[in-house]
Amino acid sequence: MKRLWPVLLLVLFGVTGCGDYQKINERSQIIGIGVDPVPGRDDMLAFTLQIPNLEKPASENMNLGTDGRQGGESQAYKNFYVEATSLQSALARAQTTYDKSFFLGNMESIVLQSGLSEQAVMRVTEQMMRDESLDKLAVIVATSSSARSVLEANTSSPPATYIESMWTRAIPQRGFTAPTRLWEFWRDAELIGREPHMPLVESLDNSIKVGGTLAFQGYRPVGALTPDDTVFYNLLAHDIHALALNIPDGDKSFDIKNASSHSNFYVTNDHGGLTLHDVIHVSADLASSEGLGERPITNAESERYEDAIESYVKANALNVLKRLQENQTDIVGFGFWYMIKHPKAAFLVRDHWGDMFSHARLDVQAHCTISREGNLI
Amino acid sequence: MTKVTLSKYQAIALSSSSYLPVMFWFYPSVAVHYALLDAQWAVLAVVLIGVWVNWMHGKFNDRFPNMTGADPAILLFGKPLGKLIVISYMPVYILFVALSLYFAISLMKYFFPHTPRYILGAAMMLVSWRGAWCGIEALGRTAAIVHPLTFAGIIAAFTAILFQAKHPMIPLTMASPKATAIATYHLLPLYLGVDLILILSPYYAHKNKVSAWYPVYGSIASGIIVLLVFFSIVMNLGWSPVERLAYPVQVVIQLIRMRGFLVERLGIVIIILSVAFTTLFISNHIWGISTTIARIFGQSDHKFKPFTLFVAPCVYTISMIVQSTVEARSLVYNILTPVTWLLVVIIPTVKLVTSYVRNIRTDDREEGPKQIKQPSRRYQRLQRRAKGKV
Repeated sequence: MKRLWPVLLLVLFGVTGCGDYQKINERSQIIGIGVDPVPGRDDMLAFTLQIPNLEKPASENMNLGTDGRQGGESQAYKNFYVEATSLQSALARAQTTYDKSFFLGNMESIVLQSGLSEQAVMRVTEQMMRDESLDKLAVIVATSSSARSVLEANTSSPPATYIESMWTRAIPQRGFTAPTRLWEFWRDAELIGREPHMPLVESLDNSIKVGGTLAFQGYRPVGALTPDDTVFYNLLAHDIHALALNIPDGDKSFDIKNASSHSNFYVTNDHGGLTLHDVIHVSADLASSEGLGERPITNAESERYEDAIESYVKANALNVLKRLQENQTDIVGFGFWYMIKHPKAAFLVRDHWGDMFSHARLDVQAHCTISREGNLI
Repeated sequence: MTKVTLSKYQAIALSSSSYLPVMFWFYPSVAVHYALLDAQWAVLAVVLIGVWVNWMHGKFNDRFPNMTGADPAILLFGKPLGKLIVISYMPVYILFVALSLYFAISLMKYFFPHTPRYILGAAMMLVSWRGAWCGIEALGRTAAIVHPLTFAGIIAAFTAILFQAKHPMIPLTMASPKATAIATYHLLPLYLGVDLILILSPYYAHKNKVSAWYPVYGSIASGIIVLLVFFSIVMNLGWSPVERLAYPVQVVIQLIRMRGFLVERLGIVIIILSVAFTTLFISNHIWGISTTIARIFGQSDHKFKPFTLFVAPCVYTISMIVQSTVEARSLVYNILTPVTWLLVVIIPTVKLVTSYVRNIRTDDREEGPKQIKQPSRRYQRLQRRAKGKV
């Protein structure tokens, strides 16, 4: 037996797991995927695959063109455009035009065109979730223009990186967008009682703009909320940090800043009729008083401002909820709350929540506290 | 000759690392599939059953402190029936360990996609076999290191996952006791492997007339892990989506990315620890199966080594024959689930009740069966005959 050990050790050296090692400069990380429909072909999808262009020194990346296949020589990124039935076949086809092997482990952004069919969104999402190596923490966004145009935007860093940084670095949560990651989108599409959503993006001349929300029913896009509506959707369903808003009060208006919020929502069932309750708590600093002045305000004025904010938030949040009811899409998660509290109703929620949600009564309460911090009294 | 070689701590670590791997990576899917929102009650029920089963095995060991695995069954039910019962465990346990190896290889494939399964399996099997060859003392020492490290890693990672859940809500009422019972039935293979405790009996210290609660402590530690992992998964992924995932535990650990932390992706640490844990687990069972086969053939349990040369290749070959996750899971559902109830609950209960009713127990630490109370005339006859032959 003792004589056998050196042989076994030699065998172990041969199976170290590095047999499939690839040098880092022979790999290429795909950081962005864009998906557009192909007119007249339901089975085909137009994929845009983005990789960072590491072959040119940074100083040569100043002139960022947007034209042409596989990107310009001096761009910060390269794009590959492939029409295929699945992500994997798109990758295989794109690989025939590039000498470095593609990897999906550092995915940053996924851009879907909002006109994609339910089937297409489901197919692409499931293919990405099924892939073991693809990073499920990539942000997923929708665009009303085309995914290709977004990933061709003229940004300082690759558009896929730019989009992800919008939430990871630049704006943690300013209220005008409701960020979603790939796994969260998939989860909500599969979840009973809460529908998924995606933030909307569009490409501008020299940058990318985020704002607004696309609401889904399962994997089917059903309607968009404007950036202003998204603020009230965030107040209803998520927490907001550091938002600045203008609050109209009659024919005047005032501004608040550093607004942060949290909400509690629940559902009551009174004699067969459902009521959706949402209690929003907002705390903010007063940025400017009515007439946009900076004069000191009294306590009575401060309370009046709070009342004005509460009625403004309540009215707009109710409007957003009514819009969601019209589309029968519960992206807030009332149905999930109802199901958890009434486990016996799980199958009722699964099969009929859209209808129950759209006919429910609404009750939105807003509570606001404002303060006035800073150097001036 | 006393055989006691394991400390209290090693006994707890070894008993607690003798089950879980066969279903650990997908038990939340099974629970949700059968019980949906009642899944948590099913998981809680199976954890409690696990504690009870461990208590029962510990109690049985207290009555037969000097006997390993196969012997008490022969003492209780006579040679033919006793041996038949013990022999019936062998194919089940070989399949069980082979499927555990299959699932461990499947997880490693995520990280080594181009390495063939047979290489990954052979690497794990070689280490496991070597561990088993070294015997229970070496395994006890390894378990005392690997078990707490794995559990600490899992607790740290899954607590972090639990607290990042945005909608931490759990149902407080039960919708369907029937669905809960069905899910509990399907979850019990989590505790297949618990019989290893019976084989450990002569290797840890038993105090006279004092129950050794080591298996119970081990099962409480495992129960906490099972509950923590389940809740951190359903609170992040919701209930219904979990059902769609092949390995929900693997998916959810991909979601932790602690920027600025010592290891940015804590998930990989858990995988490394889990591979170490599974290797230890397979070692334990190769040793356990080999020891039991040695006893079936009438050899001393110290002479288990040649049998590892049969058990290890068997386990490896079966794990290579399994074609897909779906097939492996269907083997768990269709074979291991009903058999688990028989081997882990029904037979041990019958054995314990029989030993109480017939008042059979052995209390000394000498090799071979020897009673301090008179069990039955038949057994006394057998003993006399055996002595006569000698």
